[in-house]
Amino acid sequence: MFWIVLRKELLSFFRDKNTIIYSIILPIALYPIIFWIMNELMTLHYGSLRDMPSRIAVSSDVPEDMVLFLMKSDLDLEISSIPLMMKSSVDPELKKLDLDVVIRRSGCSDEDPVEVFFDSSSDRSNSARDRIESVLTDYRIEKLNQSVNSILENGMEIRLIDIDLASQESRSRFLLGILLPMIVVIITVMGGIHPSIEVITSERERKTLETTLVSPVSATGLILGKFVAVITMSVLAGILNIIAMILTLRYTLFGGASDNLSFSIPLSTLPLMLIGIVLIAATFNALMILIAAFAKDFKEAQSYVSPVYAIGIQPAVVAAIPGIPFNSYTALIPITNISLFFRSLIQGNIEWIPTIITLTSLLVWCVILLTFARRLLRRDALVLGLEKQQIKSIMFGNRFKKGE
Amino acid sequence: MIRVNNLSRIFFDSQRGEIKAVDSLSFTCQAGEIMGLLGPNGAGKTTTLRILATLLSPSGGTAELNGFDVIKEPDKVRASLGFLSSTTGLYPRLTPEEILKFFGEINGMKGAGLKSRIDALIAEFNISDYARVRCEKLSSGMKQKVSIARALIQDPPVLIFDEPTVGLDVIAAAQTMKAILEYKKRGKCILYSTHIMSEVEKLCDRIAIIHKGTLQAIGTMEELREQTGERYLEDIFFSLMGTGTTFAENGS
Ligand SMILES: Nc1ncnc2c1ncn2[C@@H]1O[C@H](COP(=O)(O)OP(=O)(O)O)[C@@H](O)[C@H]1O
Ligand SMILES: [Mg+2]
Repeated sequence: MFWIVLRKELLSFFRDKNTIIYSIILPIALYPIIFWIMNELMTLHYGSLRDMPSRIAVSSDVPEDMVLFLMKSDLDLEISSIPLMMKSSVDPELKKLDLDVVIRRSGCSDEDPVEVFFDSSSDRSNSARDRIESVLTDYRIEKLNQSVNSILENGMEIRLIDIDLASQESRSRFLLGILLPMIVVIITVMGGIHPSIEVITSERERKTLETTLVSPVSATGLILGKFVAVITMSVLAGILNIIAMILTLRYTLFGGASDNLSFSIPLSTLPLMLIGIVLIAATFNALMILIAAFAKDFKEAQSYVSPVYAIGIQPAVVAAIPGIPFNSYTALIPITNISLFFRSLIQGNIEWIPTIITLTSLLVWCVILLTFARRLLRRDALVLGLEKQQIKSIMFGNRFKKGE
Repeated sequence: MIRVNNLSRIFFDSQRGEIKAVDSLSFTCQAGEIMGLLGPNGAGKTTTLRILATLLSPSGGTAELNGFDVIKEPDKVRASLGFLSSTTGLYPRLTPEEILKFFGEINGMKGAGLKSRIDALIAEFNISDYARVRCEKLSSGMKQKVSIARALIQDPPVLIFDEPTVGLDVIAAAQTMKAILEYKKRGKCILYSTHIMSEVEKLCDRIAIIHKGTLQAIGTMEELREQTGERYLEDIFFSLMGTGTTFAENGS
């Protein structure tokens, strides 16, 4: 019975435009869209600048080895030499020759420093100045090393080598671990909203519920079939979202280009993640179905469900605030716990006690809601619609025994 | 086949208080018979039929369908019943074929048996042209044919129709009544509720007139004529209502 109902509901869902959009297309398209926008914005700001060479003019009084050092640099520098010039003629020369930077000696002696002329109002000139600065810093260090080495007897090199103990992966996991769990929770829950209004409220509105109820369907089979169908759509949204996330991070410009964001979700955590998605989908959607069941029609159901959704996902957002720990206490806060749980999974440090608390508490909520739903959604309630009196009678005993 | 005994149903309404929608109603209906339930809006027809279909529980009395008690054996009651009303719609995104398959499976049918039953119904009701078109695209006449086929899928011995012609055009309404008469000939026990007198005169072997949840009179046209001394059903009806001309809505 359960399977027959489940199959029918899923068939209906997959033919519904709205459900397809929210449960399948949006979860998949979200990341490519987000990352594409971010990528575009980044290119707009820095990308074009990064690709352009800096045009540098070097006056003939600049030391030769410094010029050589500039020419050897990996940075995209276009170096041209110009004759000695007065300070006052640098500015017109810069404009005339379409240069970004001019380098010259401030005086005639060897001790006089090198001057870099640039135009702070031009992005390109600023970037050229920064490039020169970094090359000249390297040049200075090289010079320093040479002189130190010549002083030290054995020519021992003294150099500083940066070794960052935080691996690139763990750094990016930390960054994305804050944002992604929230998105997964929101998308999973959102994937079930439309179906959860569809299965009871819309059926009552379209008068198909009674058709089913006068057939020899068992009420438990019917409700379970409907719940599982909704949860399936919600879980599908969550899974598609995670897959889209992993693929986007792995294969897009965003994932590839910015090295310190190279990111992968540890595949070993996927089963746990799936359990989390199933539980959050079951709990949240059981609640949604119950709330929607009180509405007369789709519009009314939406007006009931939307605020609950908007408030309900706030705890997931809270979990995105860095510094909130995943411990035995936070594991008891619904929704926040699942967000924190996903965060720990993505960051690759599974903490078992809060994990078990999170999953158990979700399971308990789920069972409570399903039991409640089973009691509330009886045959007569499904036909006539739910009224305040019915909740009362379930919670405080049936005062109108005869009438029910 | 259908045996209703002292059936009552009370609703509680926050504004109207206690409503006796059905009040000590008793009647029977045999195989091969069409029993008409005639009454104005709010008479309690739908409530009675919903109790028979196990959608509502009675506040008092008993009802039996095909030998099964509606409270004690609701599953067997539903398995013996084909129910069609203006509130039994069709899933908009499924095709007639899929709908027949779904309800066949719900009734425990499967495989070749179900397939041949579906084909037979599609042929009988001329559905084949649109058997694979989603119901949301069908006209109300087409939908009605599918709905009747849907109610007949497991070939139930009892059929209940609750104002089945509401919202239909004349042709679809006439086709519906023709199908009902055909199934009476095949020996079904049929309960037909309506407030339209001409339908009752055309279809029904016996008529139960109800008002405010209570039975006013029951019998064949002849018996009702004798009881009231009126010739036409309309006059019989009004004389039983005791109002003369207007319908008084229950509880208002
Ligand atoms: N769910 C309900 N709650 C309260 N009153 C109801 C409910 N359903 C029906 N009634 C009342 O019961 C009476 C009989 O209704 P109904 O059986 O639908 O009559 P009919 O089908 O003959 O028009 C009406 O007064 C109606 O208002
Ligand atoms: Mg009615």
